[in-house]
Amino acid sequence: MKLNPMDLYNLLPKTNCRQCAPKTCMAFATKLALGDVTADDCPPLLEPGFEKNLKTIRELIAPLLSTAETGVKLDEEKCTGCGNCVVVCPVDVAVEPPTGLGKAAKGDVTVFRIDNGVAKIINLEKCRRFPPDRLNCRVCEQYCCTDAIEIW
Amino acid sequence: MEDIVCNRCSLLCDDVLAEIGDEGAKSLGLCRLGHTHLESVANQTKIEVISREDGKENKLSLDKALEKAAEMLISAKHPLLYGWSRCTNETISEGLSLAKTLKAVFDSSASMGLSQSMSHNVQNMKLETDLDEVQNKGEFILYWGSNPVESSHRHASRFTVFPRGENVPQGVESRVIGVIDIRDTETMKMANHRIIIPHGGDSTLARALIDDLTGKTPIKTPILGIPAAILVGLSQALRKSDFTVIFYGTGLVNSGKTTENLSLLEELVQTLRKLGKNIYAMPMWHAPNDMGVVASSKELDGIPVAFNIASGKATQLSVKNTLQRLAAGEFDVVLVAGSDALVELPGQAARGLANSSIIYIGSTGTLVDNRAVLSLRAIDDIISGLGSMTRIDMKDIRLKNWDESKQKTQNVFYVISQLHQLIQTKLKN
Repeated sequence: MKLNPMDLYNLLPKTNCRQCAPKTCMAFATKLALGDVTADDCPPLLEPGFEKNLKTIRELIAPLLSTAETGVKLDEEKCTGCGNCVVVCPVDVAVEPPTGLGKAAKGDVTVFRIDNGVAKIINLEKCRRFPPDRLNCRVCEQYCCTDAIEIW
Repeated sequence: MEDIVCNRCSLLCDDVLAEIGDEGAKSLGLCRLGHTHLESVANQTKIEVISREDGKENKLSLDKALEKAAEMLISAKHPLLYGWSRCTNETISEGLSLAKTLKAVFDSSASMGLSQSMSHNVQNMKLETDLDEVQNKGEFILYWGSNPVESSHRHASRFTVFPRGENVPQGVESRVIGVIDIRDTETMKMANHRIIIPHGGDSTLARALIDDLTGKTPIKTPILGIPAAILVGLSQALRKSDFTVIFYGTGLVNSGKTTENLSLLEELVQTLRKLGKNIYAMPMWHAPNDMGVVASSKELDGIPVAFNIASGKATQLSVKNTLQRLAAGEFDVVLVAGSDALVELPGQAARGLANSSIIYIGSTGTLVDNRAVLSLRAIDDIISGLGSMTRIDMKDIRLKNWDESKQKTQNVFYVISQLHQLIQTKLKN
C-alpha cells in the first residue's frame, strides 16, 4: 500500500515543535510514510486531544510494519523518464553521487537508470528493501508522479 | 555513447548520453520526450525537399527549392516569418536579418505569453536567479499555472525539487513544494501545498495572499471556495521560506488577465521582499528556445519578439495582431522555421495559416511539414550539434558536436542562411 505523506501530515499536530528527530511535521510525515519512525516518536501526538488521529495513523502504517516479503515493479508504459526515482534513491546517490545533484545516472551501478526515455531497474538487489538492509524504504514509489512504481 | 545536449524542451539537458546505430537511437538520461524526439530525427541524414501542388508531391533539389522559396518570399505582399522556438540562437538571428531584408513580420510562439512576461516589470527582460541557484538554495518551490511533470519532465528531478544543494542538503525533504492550478495535475503529487482554483481565479488568490502577508486583511474565510486553513498554510509557507521561487506558466499568464496577473505576481514578490525574504519569479515555458527568441529579438531595437519591419524600421506588434491577421488570412506567404505552428497556434489562427502558402524549414514529420507547399526537411539540431540555445533561465547552452554530427551540417541555420543570401542577391539585381 502506498502511503501519502500529506495524508499523514494532515493528521499530525502540525506545530513543528522540534521534539522529534526530523524536526518538522512534514519531514516527520515523510519518514512515517517510509516506516523510519513510528507514531510514538511524536510526543504531541500522544497528548490528549489527538487520540483519534493517533489511532488513524497507527491503522494507516500498520501494513508497513508487518511487511515480510517485498518487491518493486516498474510500469514502463506509465513512466515518463523524469528521473525522480534516480535522484531520490539513497542507493543511487551513494554509488553515483552526481545523481544526488540531479544529474542523469550514467554508470551501471545504480538501482535505477533512465534508458531510452524510461526508467529501468538495473540493480534490484541493491535496493534497501532487500537483504541485508531490509529497510522499509519506498521513497521511489512515493515520489513517482505517474504512479509507475509499485512496491509491495 | 557520447555526451549530447537535448533540444526537446526548455531545460536543454546537457548531462545525457546517446548513440545512433543500426538498431536506432539509444540514450541514457533522456526523458521520454527527449528520447522520442531523438528517435524521430535520427534517421534524417540529409536535406529532403518536398514540393506540393494540386495535391501532388514532388521531390526537388535543394537549389531549386531555395530558388522557389526566394521567389515566393520576394513576391509576397505580406510575408510572415513565424516559428523559431525550436531553432538555435544563430538561426533566430539569421531569421531576424531575413525579416529586415524582406521587410516582413517576424513572430514566434514566445509572443503568446513569454514575451509579455519578460517585458513586464516582474522580469524587465532579465531574471534574477537561475536554475543552478534554485537547486542550491530553493527552499519553497511554487508552481503557479505550470505543470512540469507533464511538459518538462526533468524540471523537478534535475533542478527544483529533488536534487540536493548547498542550503538544501536533503533535497526534497529540505524543501517545501506548492502547486496552484485549475485542476489536479501530476505535479501536485509531489506538493505539500495543493491549491486548485477556478479558471481565472489567480488574481483573487494573489490579492488574498498579498493582503494576508501585509496584515491588511488576514485570511479568515474561504476564498474561491478554498478553506481558509489551506490558504493560511500557503501564506505561512511563503512567510517562512528564506528562498522562494515561483515558477509561473501559461496557466497564470494566458488565463485572460495577463497584465493584471503579472502585476499581482510582481506585488507578491515585492511584499515578501519587504519582509526580508529572497523571492524570485521565473517563467516556465516548455518550447526549447522561446527564451532564445526573446533574447535575440530584444537585441533588435530592444523590441521583444513580434514586430513588423514593413516600414523599414521595427515596430512592435501585439500577439493579437499577428494571430488576428493570420486568422483573417492577411499573410499571403508564411515561412515557418523550426516550429510546428499548426499545433502551437490557436484554432482560428492555425486555420488561417493552413490556408496560406507555407514554406517550411525544419525537422520532418510535423503537421506544418505535411501542409506546406514547400517543405525543406533539415537535419535537426540535436543531430547537427551546432550552435547554442537559451535555457528557460536565460543561460546559453552550447549544443554538443558528437559522432552523429560529423558531415551533418545541413540544419535549419544552413538552409535559412542559404535562402537569405539568395534573396539578398536577387534583390540587388
